[in-house]
Amino acid sequence: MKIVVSARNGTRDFECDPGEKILHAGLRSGVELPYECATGTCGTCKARLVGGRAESEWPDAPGGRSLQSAAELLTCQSVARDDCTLALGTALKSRAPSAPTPRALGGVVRARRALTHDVVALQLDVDGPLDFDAGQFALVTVPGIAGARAYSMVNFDRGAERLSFVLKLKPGGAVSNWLFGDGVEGTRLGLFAPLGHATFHPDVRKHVLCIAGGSGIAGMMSILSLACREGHFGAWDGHVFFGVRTARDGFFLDELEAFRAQYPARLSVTVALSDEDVPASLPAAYPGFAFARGFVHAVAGERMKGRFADVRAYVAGPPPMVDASLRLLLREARLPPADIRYDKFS
Amino acid sequence: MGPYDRHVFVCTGGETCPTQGETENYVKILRAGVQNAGRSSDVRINKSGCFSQCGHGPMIVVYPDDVWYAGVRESDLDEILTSHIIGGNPVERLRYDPGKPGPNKIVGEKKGAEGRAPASDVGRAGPAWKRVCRSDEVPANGMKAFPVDGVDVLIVHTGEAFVAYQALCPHEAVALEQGVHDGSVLTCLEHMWQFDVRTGAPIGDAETGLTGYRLKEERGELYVALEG
Repeated sequence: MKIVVSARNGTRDFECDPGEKILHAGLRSGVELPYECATGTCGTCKARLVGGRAESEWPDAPGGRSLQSAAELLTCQSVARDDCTLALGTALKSRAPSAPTPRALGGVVRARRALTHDVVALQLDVDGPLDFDAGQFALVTVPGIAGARAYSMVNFDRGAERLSFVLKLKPGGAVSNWLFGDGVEGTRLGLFAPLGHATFHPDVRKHVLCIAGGSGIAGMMSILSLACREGHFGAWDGHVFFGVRTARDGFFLDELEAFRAQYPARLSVTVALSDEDVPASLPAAYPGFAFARGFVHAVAGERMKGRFADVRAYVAGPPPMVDASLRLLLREARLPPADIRYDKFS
Repeated sequence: MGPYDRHVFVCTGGETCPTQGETENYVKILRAGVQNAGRSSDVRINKSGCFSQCGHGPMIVVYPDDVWYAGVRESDLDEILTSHIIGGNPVERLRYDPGKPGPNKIVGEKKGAEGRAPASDVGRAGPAWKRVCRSDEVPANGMKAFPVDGVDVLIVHTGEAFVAYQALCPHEAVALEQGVHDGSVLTCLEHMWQFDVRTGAPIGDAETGLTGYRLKEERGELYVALEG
């Protein structure tokens, strides 16, 4: 089926397969349709159906609150039933030539490892080598479970054949139940990747500030992995703020210490505990880190005071934490939006 | 009879229509709709210069029906397209009736994209002021949204003065109140669209500005004019 998209700066068309999400068809064809979460939550991908038939596979998606008429749809949840003409309220951006084109592929679960009582690491062997930028995510579908979930890649490799993710368990959640069941290893999952604009490139000549809450640290690990490999912290500062509730919710601390130890003069790691005072065991185990009690955005705001010049900030975590961090970065730090990259997951 | 059943003119070249709506985009949307309806051979959509009705825009004229539309918003295009251009039934609620022949410009009164200004209001002595709130309900350097006659209005205290805008971001209909401003730039937290606090003009990535309302302060109370 042919999809024609008229945006404010021109008209593009692409082919869409039966059952394929319109957003995916556009992106894999090089048409940079707008999106942010790609999972029906944020509403960024809305478009107006001017002609043809299309249907949402998730009519109650929370992102639907931004739709203003029955003719509007979320391209990330909609499939075409016919040739369609869509109108976008915004302009189509052009993708950076170096940015990898996303595609649908499959992957097999090879390892599952508990990181904390409710966070699990998953490794996936993918069908073919996948290029992605540090900080990007993948849409993952589990057989028998409706809808896709977005997970950031933890690792960074060109032509990666193995992807690492972290999953936060939600009591009663369909994916969580599956993850706790038998036969997870060896399960074949569906992927659409890579996606996301909160990316780091070594040619960014700026200090790097990472503010992460909980499993939001995943994408930061990918960014730190690339930045360390490229020697970025030889010339620029890195500030990592990692917020969790209590000491037992912390993970990847050994991995963060390994990054820090490579650039002790310029790379700092601060762990913020929101729900308890810092137990003495933590600084004893990680003498190179700083620890503080408080919300991670507040801790970052306090410790970064006067040090926001030439900073590129990355933010990921639960929506309230991301919003609070964005307020800090815009109002106190006065960073331009181009230097604030974020993922909100809910 | 000319070569087209219907011939539609959208003002994209006048002084005010293109500032009151994205009329170039209106043309694209209408053309896509006509094409999709399979009517490209008998319906023609043309860009047009000024109709000399400045201030009533964005304007669209449909011949041979001689139906004029004023204050057309992007959200109205579907109805105009389906009902009138394709279906032959003019959209009465959007029809323009200047009440007198010839040029009919409203000069110098409007800024930005206030939208529809019914012709019957043109000669009125002054705007209808609606009370919004007490001045002290919006702290210095703060902002807050209030419902006024069914319209949500955002009052921004720039530190020096009050200004009034549409309460929702034009991008994704997100409440601007949740965003931040520093007295000169207002940023919507959802996708980082930014606007000049004093004028509502778009900055950076933002593609459209904010609709502003005239505001006055009297005896510690704020009033806005929703139209005109």
